Amino acid sequence: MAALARRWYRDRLSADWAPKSREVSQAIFTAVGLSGPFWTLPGG
Amino acid sequence: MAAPLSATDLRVRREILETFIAGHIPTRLGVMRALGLEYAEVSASYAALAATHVIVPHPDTGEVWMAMPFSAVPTPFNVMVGGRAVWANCVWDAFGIAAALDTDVSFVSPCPASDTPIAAGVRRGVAYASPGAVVHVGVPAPRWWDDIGFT
Repeated sequence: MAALARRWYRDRLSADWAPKSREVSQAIFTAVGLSGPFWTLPGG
Repeated sequence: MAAPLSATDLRVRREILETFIAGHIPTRLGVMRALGLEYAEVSASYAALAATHVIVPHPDTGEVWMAMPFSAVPTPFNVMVGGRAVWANCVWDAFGIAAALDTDVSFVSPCPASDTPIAAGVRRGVAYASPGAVVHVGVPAPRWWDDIGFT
């Protein structure tokens, strides 16, 4: 969970922050080993 | 699809997060004063930020309920960060506060099943948790925003 949180939130206070696209968000799940229908965001 | 966030929306977002980081609860009035905006401008930004899931306004008051990873209301995740206590929405967000601020945090949260206190956090950049602690995610990702308060 900490690994997911690190990737998800590490840019939260960056000056160039922008909302994550669905694709970027999904890639974060995949990168920390979370996959399958349970972890598939809407629109996937 | 939600409209892109404006420069004002991003300033409002930043002010909301900075208010939480300082250990306070943001209000539209406070944001208005801090940024020199009209109340209607702040309200419009709140709507834009809510539409993009950046914040969750409270359904009764319209004030910020959640600005992930922070919560404006008490939760089981009272996170100590830099000598202050802030509320996170969930364990994901509790660790997220450490990531967002690039700092150490600590929190003690009761196990939902046994009520046993579980200590966790980030110490010198390394995450830790009580031995045997597991995270249970009860709602599948496709349904998180059906009822984000429950999620």
